[in-house]
Amino acid sequence: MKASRITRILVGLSIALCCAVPTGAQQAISKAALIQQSPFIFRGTVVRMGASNLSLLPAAPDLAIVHVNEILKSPAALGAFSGHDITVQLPSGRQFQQGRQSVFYATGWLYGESLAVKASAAGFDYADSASLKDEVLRADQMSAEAKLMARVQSAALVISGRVLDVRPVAVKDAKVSEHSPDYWSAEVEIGNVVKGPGEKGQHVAVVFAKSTDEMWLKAPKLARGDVGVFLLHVNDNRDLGIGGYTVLDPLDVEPLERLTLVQQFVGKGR
Amino acid sequence: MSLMMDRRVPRLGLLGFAALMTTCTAAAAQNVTLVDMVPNALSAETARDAEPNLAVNGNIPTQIVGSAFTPDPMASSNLPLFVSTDGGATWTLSTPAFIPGTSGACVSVVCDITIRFGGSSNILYVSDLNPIGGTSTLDVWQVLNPTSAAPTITSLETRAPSGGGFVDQPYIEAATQAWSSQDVVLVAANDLTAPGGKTAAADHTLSPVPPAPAGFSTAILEPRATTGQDAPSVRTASYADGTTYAIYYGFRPAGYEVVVARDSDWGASATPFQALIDPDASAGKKVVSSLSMPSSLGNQRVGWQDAIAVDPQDPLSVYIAYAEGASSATYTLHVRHSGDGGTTWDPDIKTVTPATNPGVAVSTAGEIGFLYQKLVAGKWETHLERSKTAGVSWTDILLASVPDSKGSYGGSNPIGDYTGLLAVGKDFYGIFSGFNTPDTANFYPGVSFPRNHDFVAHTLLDLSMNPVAGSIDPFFFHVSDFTAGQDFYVRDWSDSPTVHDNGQEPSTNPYFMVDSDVWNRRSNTNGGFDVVTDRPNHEDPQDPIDGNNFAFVRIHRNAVGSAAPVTARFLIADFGLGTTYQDADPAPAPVLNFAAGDTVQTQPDGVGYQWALSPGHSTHICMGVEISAAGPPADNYTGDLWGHAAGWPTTDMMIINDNNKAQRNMGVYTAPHTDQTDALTYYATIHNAATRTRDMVLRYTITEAVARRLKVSSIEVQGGGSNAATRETNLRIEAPKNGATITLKAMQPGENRWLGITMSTVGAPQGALLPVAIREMNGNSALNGILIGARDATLGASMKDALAFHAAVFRRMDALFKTPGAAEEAKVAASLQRREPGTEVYIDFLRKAQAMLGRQIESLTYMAGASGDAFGSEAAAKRLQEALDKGSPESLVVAHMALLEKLDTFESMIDKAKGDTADILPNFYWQRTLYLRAGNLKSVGPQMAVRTAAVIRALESRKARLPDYGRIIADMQSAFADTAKLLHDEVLDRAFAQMQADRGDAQKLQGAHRQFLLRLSALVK
Repeated sequence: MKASRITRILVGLSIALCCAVPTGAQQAISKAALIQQSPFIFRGTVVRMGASNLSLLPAAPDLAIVHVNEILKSPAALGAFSGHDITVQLPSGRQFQQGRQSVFYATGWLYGESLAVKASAAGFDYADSASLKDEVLRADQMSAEAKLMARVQSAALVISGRVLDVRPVAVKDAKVSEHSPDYWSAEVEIGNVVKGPGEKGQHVAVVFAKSTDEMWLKAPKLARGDVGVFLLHVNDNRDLGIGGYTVLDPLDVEPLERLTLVQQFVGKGR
Repeated sequence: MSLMMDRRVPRLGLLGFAALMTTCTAAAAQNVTLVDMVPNALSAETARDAEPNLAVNGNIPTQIVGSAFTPDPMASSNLPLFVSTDGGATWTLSTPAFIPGTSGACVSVVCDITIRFGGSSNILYVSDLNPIGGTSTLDVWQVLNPTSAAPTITSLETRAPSGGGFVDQPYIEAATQAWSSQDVVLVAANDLTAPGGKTAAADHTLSPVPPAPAGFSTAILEPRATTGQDAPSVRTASYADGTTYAIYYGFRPAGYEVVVARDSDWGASATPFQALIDPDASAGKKVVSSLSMPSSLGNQRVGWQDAIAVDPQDPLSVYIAYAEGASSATYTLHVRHSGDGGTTWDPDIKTVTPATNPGVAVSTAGEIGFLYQKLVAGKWETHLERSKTAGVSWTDILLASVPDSKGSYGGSNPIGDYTGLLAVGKDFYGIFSGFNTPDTANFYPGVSFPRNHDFVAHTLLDLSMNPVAGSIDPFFFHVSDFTAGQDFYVRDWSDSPTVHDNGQEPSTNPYFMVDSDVWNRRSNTNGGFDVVTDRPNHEDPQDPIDGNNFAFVRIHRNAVGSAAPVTARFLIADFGLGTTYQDADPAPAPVLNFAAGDTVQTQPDGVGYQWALSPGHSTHICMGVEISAAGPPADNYTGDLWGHAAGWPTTDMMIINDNNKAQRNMGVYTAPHTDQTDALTYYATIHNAATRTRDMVLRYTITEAVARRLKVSSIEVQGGGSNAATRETNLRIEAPKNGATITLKAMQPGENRWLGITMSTVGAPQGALLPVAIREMNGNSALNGILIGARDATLGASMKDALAFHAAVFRRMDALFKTPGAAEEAKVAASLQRREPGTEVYIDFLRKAQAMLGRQIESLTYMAGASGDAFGSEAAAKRLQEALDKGSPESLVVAHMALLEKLDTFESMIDKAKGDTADILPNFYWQRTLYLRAGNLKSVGPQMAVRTAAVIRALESRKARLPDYGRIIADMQSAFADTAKLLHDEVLDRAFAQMQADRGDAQKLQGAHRQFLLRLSALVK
């Protein structure tokens, strides 16, 4: 897609959106934020105003039953709602009509015999589906990268490297809980230093949570031979009595192929 | 709905489950609802919905909320709750906004979610662990309108980690205090922030009202040294009177130790959870020690699973389940019972190996429910076993037998660390997690999968009918022996044709004892129902001189059903608290025949249950009814009021908990309508029906609206004078405030005292009822109550009531004491009352009655002996004379009623000093208790306890009756003689001799028997 076309689409969308949006570059930023904040975006046709198709949700003037024509963004578990009717709480300040098609930017609400969502915005979009999906993809990619960037910036040491060994960590006065992190330490050989103190070839101890309890399941698990980019934090888990470098957030260990991206976030590479 | 006859169930699956059901003992009809809670909209979900919890709104049992480790499908930070408004048949995942943490590595928004409704507040309470920054903050929330589309969530408590620890595995309990309608919330937890390694704890509040911290404080349960901490699983269970138990595992050098602690006031007593002292002198009874734990069972981690429940009929009856085992193969769940508040524990009443995730609950019918998940050949079997025989025999329901599969989940805890089991009324509700392969062979017949599925191909499907991988789902179940069409009940209260008791157990209205659907009429017409309140038109019972009384009941069921006869047994007791119920009449109890289409039946005019007050009985009474339905389920009944007192400590919560029972405890004095009446003291009997000496705590309540029209100038207590320990408690409170309490100290078994409320009306609207409530309290909970009030009426109606009462008082004088002239006086008053006299005739009557009234006072005072004119009858007579000389007609009628109240109560006091036939059965309960614990009576003790138990059974079943009492005592004569001989006590000897002498008079014999037991209680060791 050419840039000029994307611009036209974004401008068109911004104008059509019922939420107030400034002009120019700010429009695109606001639109991106709206996409990022809307886990469920779909093109739909209003079937009936003031109605609900969930028994838990009484009919009300701000509700409508909407036929989902096409899903542009959705969690996997809700991806099959195309072709189904759902209930939408309509954004205020805009008139909707039965039979009119719109793109709805929605968050979740109720999941019963049908689905109810709350639309924070809706636009009468003329863009084709491919363009809209591309826009959604880019906005979500921006969001994911922003989260990774924040994690990189809060890290004390960012390296690429290889795990040489792992061993349990003795935590003083550790309490037994089903949610205990089960700290282990990985000895990591530094390949590249992206941020912070350290030298290539140096070994650094990295604490990780080996527990597969729900509280720690998504925390990175390290094993001998693992390679990757490590965003090492200190005092990241100060309340549980460990010191040194830790990788506890799911974003703290990235595949090696993301090294360049991480280096861009730091602003320099070595 | 009933799912038992679902013919779609494949043959093999049905056979498998049928085989298991053959282990049932005398299986009653049971209705099982089993539902995969994942709704249709989430047909494609593959999350691990584990470690579930359940809350049922006891006030509206169709409102149910479930929780699990279910992530928000849209990956928001909202709180995911499964809600149902149709009794669990269908579910919606609601995701209301709240104040989340940052989930960090946690797989869901928050962890360890447990939920409970307040008893009657409709408020949901939630506790969870909020994994802020990868650490765990304890949150407690209040959720208003939880089953609506727009719930409101407000923080009640937040406790951040500190000192290297956090508050682990919070587990919430909630209830409503009966007297105040105020909720209480307890959050048991392993408080790893606590110093010294004593970490078993319970946060509690008696006022769970925002803002945080909403009155929460922390009680540490663990008094003993640990190896550094206690186990994660701490649980509490509360009885309606505030008695609260906690179970936890202590970590000891020799192994793990199961401890049960107890508190008397929802965990909020001055020294919380210190009520149960172990022989080692520390708080908390050590139930079992030196236990081992394996780390896993199949794919599921295990360790320290436990559960606790208290019998809603008996605060001293408590059940626990705990786990132990040196290996996975020997990981065993034990169920044990204590009948003495945790002091001693019976041997196991149930063990299951290898199994985990226990739940225990006790229904209002006394049925035990035991939920567990057992690993059998690579499958998790989820069982609900029930016992109506205190664990002697069990009925097993195999709810699910599903693969021990993790699906795509990579964690160590696929099904979670607990399940949930609740008893609501007579029913059991529960929740568990398991693998969701849609194969009917894996589930109890009739399982419902709202999410798309193919039971033939055993495949889950998304909304486009594409296959979906299996995962862990939460399953809801509801087990009932009753359909709505089988559950007959008597309303405890009614405010309007649309707002009334719907048979909830326990009853949800603090005035469960005054506006019920049992009532009396003075003629054989039911009187209909008030069009505004839908309450029956009750009439106080009339004196036998004036005729018979007729008892009526209205019985409901919430749905049509089979035709069924329902028997209604009517009972009466002295007006007061703790007084013993007796059959209203020996005649057979009436039967109300429900046709298949009937949901309500009332005795029509002409078929009221005829009964008459005995000649010596006061017309101030309480009235009770208990109904039973024939046919299965035949045990639609939780015990018998006959020979018992409603409230603590005999039948305790029986009336509140059992919708088959209702009572009407209301004393009303008809005040003449005027700007302000003179004062009158109305009396109620306070009776200790316990088999031990105890304090009785009474709480006075008056609404602001009533207080504007009813001036209560004092509350007084008379009696207890012969008991040296209690003389100082002859209480009188001037101008009592709402909520004032009176403690009647050291009430002996069977002892009576009298509570008087002095009141006057102030410009009350004619016909208005102005009641005050007196409730018996245990901690912050009401166990029973009475209403005393004035009803403003015309002067003529007041005079008529005064004359009727005059007749009743003199009729009693004649019947009880053979006082010369009393019978004639009663006849004159009764005759005059029927003629509805004018003021002049009434005044003339009173002038003539002066002499007779004076003689009666003299006679009663003489008979009372040392206690003299305890109720101030002389002064009341003087006031009546003054009113005759110069008072208004209104003052005169109030003075007349005031004197009659005193005389009526005086008569009761003197009569009951001789004995009380209503207390014959309680005497035997007391006797059994004394002989059971008598270590200094050699073999006489246990032998007599056994014989007494047989007598109790005969009396309870009505195979033995009042005329048999003398023979029963005679049969026990030699054992009583042996007792006296062994104890060498002159007082006991005299009491024994008196029993011998009084065998021909049941009332006197009861008195002598009581004196014998009273002395015996001081001598047995």
